[in-house]
Amino acid sequence: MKLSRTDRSFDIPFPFLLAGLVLLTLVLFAASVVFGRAGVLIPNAGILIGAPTTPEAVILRELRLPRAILALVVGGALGMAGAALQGLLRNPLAEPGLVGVSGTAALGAVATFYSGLAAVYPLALPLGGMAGAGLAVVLLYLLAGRDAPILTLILAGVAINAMSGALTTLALNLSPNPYAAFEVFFWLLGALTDRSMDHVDLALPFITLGMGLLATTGRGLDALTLGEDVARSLGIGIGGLQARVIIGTALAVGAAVAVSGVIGFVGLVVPHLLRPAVGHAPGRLLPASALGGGALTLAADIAVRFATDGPELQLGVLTAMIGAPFFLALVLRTRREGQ
Amino acid sequence: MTILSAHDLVVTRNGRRLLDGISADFGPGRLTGLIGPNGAGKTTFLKALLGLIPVDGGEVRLDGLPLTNYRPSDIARRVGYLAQGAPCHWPMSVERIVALGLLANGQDRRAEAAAGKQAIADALAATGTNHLRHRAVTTLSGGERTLVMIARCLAGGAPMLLADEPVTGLDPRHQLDVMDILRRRVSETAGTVAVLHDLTLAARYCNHLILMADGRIFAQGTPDVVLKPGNLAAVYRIKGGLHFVDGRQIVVSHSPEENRT
Repeated sequence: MKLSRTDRSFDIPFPFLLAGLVLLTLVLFAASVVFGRAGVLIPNAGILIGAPTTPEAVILRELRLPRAILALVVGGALGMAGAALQGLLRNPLAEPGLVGVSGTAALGAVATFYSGLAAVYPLALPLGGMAGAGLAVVLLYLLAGRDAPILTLILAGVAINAMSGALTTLALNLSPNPYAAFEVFFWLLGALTDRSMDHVDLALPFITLGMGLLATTGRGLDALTLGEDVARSLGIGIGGLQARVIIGTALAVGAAVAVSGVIGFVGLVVPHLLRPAVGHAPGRLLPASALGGGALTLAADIAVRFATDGPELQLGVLTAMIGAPFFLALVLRTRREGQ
Repeated sequence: MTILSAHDLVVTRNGRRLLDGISADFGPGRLTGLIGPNGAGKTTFLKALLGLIPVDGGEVRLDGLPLTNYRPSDIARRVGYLAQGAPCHWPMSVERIVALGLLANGQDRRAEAAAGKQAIADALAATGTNHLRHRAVTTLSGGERTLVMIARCLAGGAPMLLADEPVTGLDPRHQLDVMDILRRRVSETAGTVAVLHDLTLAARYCNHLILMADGRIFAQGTPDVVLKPGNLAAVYRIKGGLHFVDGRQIVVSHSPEENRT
């Protein structure tokens, strides 16, 4: 008997897969620190201690290292949140950017810029992002929870994105300072250029907390494969599971967007590529997508440094250029399978 | 020994009484068939017994204590649930889906351990699905899929199993296979409740029937008592009854009853 691609699960042993992803992520992290527009710089242990003395040490410590750390954790947050949302909604197209979570997080962050709160009180920036992301996830769940068809999910995402987009544009529109508006506009496109260790300090605790919360949902998301009623009959507390996914996503994506802007499609592409490798099990997809998201974002962030000679390509623009055709292909396939 | 009982159960939705004062108990040694026309409240009753929907009056008791006293994981250890249509949202392998059943007794972390592996192997063997273990559940036929979901329930090891329309939409062979498995698991410690539409299968496999109509229990007892022409006429509005062909029960519905207006 001939087996088609989906007939058989051909998963790699899970520990090997994770080990491979860890290795890939470490290599890309090192490459992100070593390669840049200022040339190849090999860090030594000394640059992390004391005040940097040479220009190379300044570049490594003030620019490249925070950039690499942010690519790792922001990508990890987006990949894992995508996998968790897809598991909760049982829908492979749920992605923080597509469904409006990233956009609303950006709105929350812009609100703190705009009000001047972020300048006085830096912690307001990730808090605004998380508040926005939390609001969007709750809205999304109300609109497209409980086994909603894919169309409902996408429409809910369109509505949430349109709303947050309009309000963000309104803020830019009313901005008294055109340069500030221009800066916010570029920030919205998503990038990790010129971020400092301050950004890492602001985002890392919340992203870690959010990802930690998402990591506890694996069992519940596995059970949810069989529908909400069966999952409950297996002893899963659905209310607690929903709360952990929603709060975890809000913390991780909100804090990530607050420091990096909107980097779209990572949460769509990464879980989709890794799903067959984990035997389509939503629980195992979580750690795999966290690592995969980190790896993809590190790779994309290295690519934008060398893609053009002029000003750097925005990271969010690159991920959208990869992700949008991918999304289209997924939609077409879902439509074919639906027929 | 696990005994599940309903006491004067009432469930109201949008002003309509879906369950209207139902009392019944389910225990080991019995394959109970829950029968009745569409909309009689069979699925609602099953979900109320599992604690999946809130009740508006009366209560469900598990081993003598109100169901609401139990944590979800404690209910899961005692009562298994086979959902209508055997839903599965991701193309996971049969083996993995059956392993999800281990969640019910808190064994999931030991799924790789001997006890878990043995439970999965036993469940696959009992349902004759061992040859499917590496297939994706979403590529199976309706009958195979139902068998796999039963295996998932068996792996969990809960003494009571509540099955919602386990044979609806299956071919005759798979219907018999499913009913056989459901009957075979009934023992001194284990019982099964199945929502059924096929009255012949209900008569032949169940040793207890509950006939529901409009959210109430119209009749209950052994099949020959419940499947009397008078009951079928009153509840299903058909002329029909239980017959024996070569010593086997067959329920024939001869014709629709005249509308008495």
